[in-house]
Amino acid sequence: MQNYLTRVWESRFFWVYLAQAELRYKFRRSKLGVIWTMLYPLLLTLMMAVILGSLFKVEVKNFAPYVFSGLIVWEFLVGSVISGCQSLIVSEAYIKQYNHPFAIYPLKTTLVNIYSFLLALPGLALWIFFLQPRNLLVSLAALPVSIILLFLLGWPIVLIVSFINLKYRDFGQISGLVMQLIWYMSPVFYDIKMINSTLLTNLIEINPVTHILNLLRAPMLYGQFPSLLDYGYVFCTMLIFYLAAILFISRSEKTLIFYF
Amino acid sequence: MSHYFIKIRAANLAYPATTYNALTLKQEVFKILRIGKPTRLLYDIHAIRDMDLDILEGDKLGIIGRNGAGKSSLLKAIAGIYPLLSGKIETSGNIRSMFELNLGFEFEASGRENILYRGLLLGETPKSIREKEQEIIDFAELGDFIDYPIKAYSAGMLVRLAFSISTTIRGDILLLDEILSAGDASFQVKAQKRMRELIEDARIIVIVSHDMNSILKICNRAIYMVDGKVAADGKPEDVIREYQNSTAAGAGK
Repeated sequence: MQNYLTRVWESRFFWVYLAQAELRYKFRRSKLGVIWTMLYPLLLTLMMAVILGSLFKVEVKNFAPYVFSGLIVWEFLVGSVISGCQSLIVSEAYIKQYNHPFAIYPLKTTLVNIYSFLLALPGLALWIFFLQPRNLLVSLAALPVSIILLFLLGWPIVLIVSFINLKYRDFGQISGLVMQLIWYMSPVFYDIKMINSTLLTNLIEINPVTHILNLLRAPMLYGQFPSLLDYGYVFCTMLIFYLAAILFISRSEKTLIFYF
Repeated sequence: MSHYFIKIRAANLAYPATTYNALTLKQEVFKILRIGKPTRLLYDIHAIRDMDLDILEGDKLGIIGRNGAGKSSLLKAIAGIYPLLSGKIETSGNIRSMFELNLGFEFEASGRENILYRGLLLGETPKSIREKEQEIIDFAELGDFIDYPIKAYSAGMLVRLAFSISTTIRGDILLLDEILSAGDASFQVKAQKRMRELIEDARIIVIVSHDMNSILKICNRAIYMVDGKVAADGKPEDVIREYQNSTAAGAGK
């Protein structure tokens, strides 16, 4: 495994460049270009905050940053799964030419995803700056750790789904549905306090996504560090995904080339 | 003990048929209900069988044989792209392989960016590519076109760029699938000269070719492969004679 990571490190120029190039070409021939990455979650938040806010009868002023902070973390997670499915498939030409470790392609995808997340973050920071300026100090201290954790969480997720999807192409469809299910079970667009079903509340509390969302929400919205429970959940989730990723690499990386 | 080598021991390479035999749910159900034509299962393609081969520093090895004898599979196994079913291949030295020159270009990116893509893919660093960049552009004779997206290139320009990149970034062990040639008449002369330099520079060359003249010209050793095995190994002229005799015999049947 150490040898594997060394090879990942040795090819760093390649996957960093691939990530940069993907970002550059993602918005080719678009007038606003990369600004879309910032604008998209903002506009989506606006729509959801107005509609859901009136549905749940909550004040848009506080509800909007809540939804926004949930959305951008969610977008990172769902992006890891959805774009992750294609991660290896689109890299076929490279994989068939040079024997780099397969994990670098999911790593590239994760870099692209975290970059989109980072671009959306200032939108939230600005909001907080006007509404709750005192939260910014705690955020400054807690956010770097949260961002690193998110990135480290994304890599094995992308790796696992890209490996599975290469062998079983139905996986993309299924994972879309599963993510939709998780979306309803995660407090992205609603607050856990709004729910008056104990079953759903329990589901939400054991759902790791709830705690992953807190990585950003606790400091930005409430001026607190994420709780030990949150960190514990995130670490356990990471551990499980990393163990699974290592299993996938050692079991099936070698023969994966035949499935292109 | 030479510094550069390729050691192949009891190597087997098979393309698993499971990837071709995958059934859809509909086919599975039909199979259980015995409706429709039964799908014929394909067998694994056994490309390399129990091969032992030492390729040492200074070897310029030509691989000849009929189509489907496992020649290209052997090259790709040496490059580490295809895994072995059993046995092992040990290599020492920096491997450069040239299989499909046109594969892996980004058509939206400029020629200059594609030089970087290619170079980094092959394990270069941004710094080392910048040093070679001008040489690559000059050799490919692309001029101002280098900053255009390569989808604007003519087929010949693209081949020239691919050839130029692939031959400028060098390694100790060179794996070639057919002798490369590119471009119009004047470029071909340059390209041939470049290939000769490349072949002289490399510590080990393994080349697959159907062109017996180039094998005779380039190689100091040849193997003749039949059904994934080495049927003959020795001086190129002897091995080629054996190959030609056996194909002549096969044709006479």
